[in-house]
Amino acid sequence: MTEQVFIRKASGLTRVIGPWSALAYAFMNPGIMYAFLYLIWTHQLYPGVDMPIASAIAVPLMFIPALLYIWFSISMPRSGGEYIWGSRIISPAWGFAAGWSLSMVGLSWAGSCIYWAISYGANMVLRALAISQGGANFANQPLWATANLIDSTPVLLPLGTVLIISFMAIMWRGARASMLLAWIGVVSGTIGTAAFVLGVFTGGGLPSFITGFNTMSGTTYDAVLNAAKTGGWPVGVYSLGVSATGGITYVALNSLGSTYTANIIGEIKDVRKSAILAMLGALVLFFVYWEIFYSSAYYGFSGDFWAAASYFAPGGSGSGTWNGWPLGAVMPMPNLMLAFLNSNVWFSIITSLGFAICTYASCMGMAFGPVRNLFAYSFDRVLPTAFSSTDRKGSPWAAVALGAVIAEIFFIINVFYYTWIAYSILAWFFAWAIVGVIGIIFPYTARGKQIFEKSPEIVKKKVVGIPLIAIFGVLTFIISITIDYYMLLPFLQGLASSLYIWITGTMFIIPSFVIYYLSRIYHRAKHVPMELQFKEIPPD
Amino acid sequence: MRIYFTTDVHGSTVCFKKFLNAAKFYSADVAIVGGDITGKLIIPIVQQADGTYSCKHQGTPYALNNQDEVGHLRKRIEDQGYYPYITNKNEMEDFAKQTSKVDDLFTQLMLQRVEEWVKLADERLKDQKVACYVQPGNDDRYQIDPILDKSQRIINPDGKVILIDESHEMISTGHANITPWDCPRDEPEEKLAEIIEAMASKVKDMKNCIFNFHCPPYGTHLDQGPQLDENLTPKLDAGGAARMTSVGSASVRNAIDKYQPLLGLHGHIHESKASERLGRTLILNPGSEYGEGVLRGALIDLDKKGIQSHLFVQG
Repeated sequence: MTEQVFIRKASGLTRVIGPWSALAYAFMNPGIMYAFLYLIWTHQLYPGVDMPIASAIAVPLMFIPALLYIWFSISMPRSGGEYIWGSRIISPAWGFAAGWSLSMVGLSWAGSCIYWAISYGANMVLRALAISQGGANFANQPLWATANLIDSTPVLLPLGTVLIISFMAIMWRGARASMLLAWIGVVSGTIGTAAFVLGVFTGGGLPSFITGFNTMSGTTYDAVLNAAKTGGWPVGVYSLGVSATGGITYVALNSLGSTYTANIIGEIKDVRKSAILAMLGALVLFFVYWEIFYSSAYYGFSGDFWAAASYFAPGGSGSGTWNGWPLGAVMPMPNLMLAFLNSNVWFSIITSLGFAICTYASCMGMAFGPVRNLFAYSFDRVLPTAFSSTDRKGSPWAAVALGAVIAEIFFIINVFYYTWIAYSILAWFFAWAIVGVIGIIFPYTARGKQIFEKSPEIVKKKVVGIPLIAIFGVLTFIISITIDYYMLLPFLQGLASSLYIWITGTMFIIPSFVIYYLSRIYHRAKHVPMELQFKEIPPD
Repeated sequence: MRIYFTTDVHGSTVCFKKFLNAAKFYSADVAIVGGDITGKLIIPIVQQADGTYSCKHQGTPYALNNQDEVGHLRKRIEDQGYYPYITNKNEMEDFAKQTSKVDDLFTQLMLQRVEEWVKLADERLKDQKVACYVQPGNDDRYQIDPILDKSQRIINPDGKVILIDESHEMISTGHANITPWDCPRDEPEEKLAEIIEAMASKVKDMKNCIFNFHCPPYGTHLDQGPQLDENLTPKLDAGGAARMTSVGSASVRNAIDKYQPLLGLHGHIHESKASERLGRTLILNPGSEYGEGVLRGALIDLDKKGIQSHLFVQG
């Protein structure tokens, strides 16, 4: 009886998204098949990595930032995420910096990953067919030449632009169409991953791959491994430390977007249960997907082969150094290499199509939240008000158009500097470091304390007298700056161009402060001062 | 002239206190609450046989050992817009048997809080020049009107044409079109149109007029709510996103389209914070976050030429 609460009939109860739907939303945003490419990239930048171990280390680590997001979502259960938390607890400039950095990373991925959908997904269908039909002569097949043509800049640029316009048009059409595409992406990714795993196991695993590769590639498995070793690349050497660092960058990278749920928390009912289920549940699902994928990739091709292949692959230290490498400038994607392992080319085709569709859908998913943010920033006067314009149907066309332009810019950059996108993660973790700081000071600053004290009991829980949210904040900050350090490591070791760092800094991080303060100065002179926006009125 | 507009505080004492300080804080000349000032939930704090108290609030069970703990929780519940009610097991059993008693209790607690707020407003605004308008909304029972009318500093603008400065008139209504919850001031569209027309016909200078209508106009970004099925359950799309639809008033929309006032101030749909132009009319809904003690509002700078600028604020 004591648990009863009396509710009267009243309007305005509009939280509608349930816990399971929130989980689906969290799981749909990151591209689950990006892992196929990260298998190569992680080996390139972290020689000695073991991906199944990296995944096992990294995914649980991501629970900590997820817990910080959950705690904030329960404390301030309104939509807006980092922008609102930062603006209320530190200052609007820092809130905007966190929100802007994450939004730009999202849009940059939306643009850049279109390249992946074409080159590493759809185009691999043609290449797999060429291998299947031409055997060792695959590079002279018309299908291989067609794939090369599609990969060329004059074709890739307009094709990618059309695809960016197409998913932005779906977004412009509305949330229903966007969600439908996201679901298609999840289903395609699941089918694609399943086809890969089935292809590996029904094809006979590593012995079949070695046989197929030795027969159809024009070189041999052993020759590839030996050539990489001769080039000084560590093949057959595995390190737990390297696996941990590689994992927390690239596996963690693949889980980003699952915290987008915090941005729509105002529309979610039963916030505590939903936030926990969505943000932790999505990580558990990712863990299952990726462990299955990475283990299958190692079972079917061996970690040694991925280490060696990544060395000769585009972006690798040994790229272009050995004429015997059969794929030249083509990325040795697992979906393509499957054509050497399993004589039934359909496994490779379905995996590649799954990758293409899943990645295309994820481009829309990665842009969806940022476009909403651009609209909100315009609404709050930080960006020009023109970007909050809507059409007759109420769709925010100006924010969608701005998002499309930003995505297109990053797509063009990616066509010419195809690995730079990996370093945009610096900006993501810069933003997460800010969120970590917000968590640390939340219970202690005058302003944060007021919100903290009004929060549900779970948010106020303490361990040895320290609020849990502050502990999550400290750990998130440490994790974020550690990942940023490891992202910088390849530059410090000379494995990557410092140009990428400058692109990341100038496009993702610095503009947020410039935009905010320019806008503030402009409004102070002509309009209601923006600094009033998040200032708390003293109640007493 | 600077207007501070907020809405849908729904019983939150901390939000109302912030509202009373808002004009000074934002240097506003006029402060307006656009409706829905009463709360929606009663949280019983039940005295146990051993003299302690128990309560369940937001899913968390509380065992309260002394009056200090009870007082602390009471304040938190009040700040969130709910009504704490100290009771015992026998009375709780009575409530379970006679639901009309719960309804009477709601009225009693709502009136009590509005009285406290009016008293506080009269004290705090005594020496301030700000013009303070507080109107009921569709969720508010009619019994609160006489309490607002008794105030020395608060003006209830509902149903009136008020000249808020030398050049701007304001007409106001807290009524809304029919909602699925059958609220006290829900009205059919035809009746709502009559209420608006009765005021609009008396406005002298429509181009400088402000429509302070609790309900937003139909078919805008200010009125997006979830589509409900016959069981009042929201319809969801694939992925769990709510299927949103316009739930505002066609009468309000028609009036704005017809008269093209300077400004429309609206609330009602808490999650639909938005601003939009309907012809020359700027319409605003700052949304509501009363449960977290955050007072959402809008600042609007006006002069004789029209609207100079506006900004949404979270105080």
